[in-house]
Amino acid sequence: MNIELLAENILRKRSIKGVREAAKEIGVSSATLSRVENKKVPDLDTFSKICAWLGEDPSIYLGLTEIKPTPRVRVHFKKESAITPASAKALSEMILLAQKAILTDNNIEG
Amino acid sequence: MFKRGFKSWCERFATDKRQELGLSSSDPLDARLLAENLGIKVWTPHDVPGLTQEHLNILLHNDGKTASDWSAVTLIVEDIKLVILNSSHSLGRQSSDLMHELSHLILDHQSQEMNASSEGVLMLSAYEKDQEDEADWLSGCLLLPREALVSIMKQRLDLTIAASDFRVSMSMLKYRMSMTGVARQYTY
Repeated sequence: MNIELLAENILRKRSIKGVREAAKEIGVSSATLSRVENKKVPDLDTFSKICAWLGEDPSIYLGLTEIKPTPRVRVHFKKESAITPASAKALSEMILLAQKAILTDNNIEG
Repeated sequence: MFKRGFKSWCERFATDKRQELGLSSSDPLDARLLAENLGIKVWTPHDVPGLTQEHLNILLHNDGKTASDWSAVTLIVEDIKLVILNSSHSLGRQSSDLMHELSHLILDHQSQEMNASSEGVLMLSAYEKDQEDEADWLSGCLLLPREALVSIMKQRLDLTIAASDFRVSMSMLKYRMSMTGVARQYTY
C-alpha cells in the first residue's frame, strides 16, 4: 500500500480542519485517523472509510493502477546476420513508438 | 523432432482456415488475409507514428547486396497483436516472414520480453529452436498445403509460375515438395 500518498491526501483534504472533526466525518476515532496520518497502515474498514471520504478509488493506494501493460516483443533477424548498433537503436525506437500507438489507439494507457 | 500429430494438425489447420476464408484447399492463401482473419494488425515501419526519417532510412536500408538485418517484429500488448514487416524486402519474402510470425502467434509461442535501454534494444537469448522449427513447418503448410502441392504437380504447372502464384520462393516450393513426399509421388 502507498501509505505515504494516503497520508498526504488526508492531510491535504483535512486542510485546516482539526483531526477530531475530520475523524468524525470519516466515521473513525481521532486516534485512528492520527495514526494513518502518521503513516501507520490502517485496517480494511478504516481504509475503506477514508477512501470514501477522499472520494478516491482504493486501487490507487494499492498500486493496481501502477501496473502498465508489459509488451511482449519478438524480433526476427535475417539469418546469419549480425545486427548493427544503429539498427538496434532504430528498432528500439520503432518498437517503443509502435507500442505507444497501440496503447493510445486502444486507450489502454492510464 | 515434432510432437506426435503436429504435422497432421498443421495440414488440417491450413485446410480449415482456407475453408473458413472461402478458399479451396489448393488455393494460395494471402498472409495478410489470414492476419486479418486472426485479428492481427500488420504494419510496415512507415505506419509507425513518429518514427523519424533517419530511423526509417536505417531500418529500410537495402542496397540489394546487404539487405537490412531484420525481417519482422511482433509486438503483443495486452490482447493486441501487431506484426511490423521489413518492407524493403521482396513481397515474397514479406509474405513468408508474415506467415512465420502468424504461425508463432497461432501456436501461442512465448515471445521474449523486451529490455529497452538508451543504447537500443537488448535482445535476450535466441528464440527456442523447437518453436522456430514448429513455426517454419506451420507457415510452410499455410503457404503450400499438401493438396496445393499435389494440384501443382497434377496440373503440371510451371514451378516458377506456381511459386509466384503462391508468393513463395522456389526453394520453399522445392522444400515443401520434398518434405511432403509429393515430389516422389508425382513426376513430370
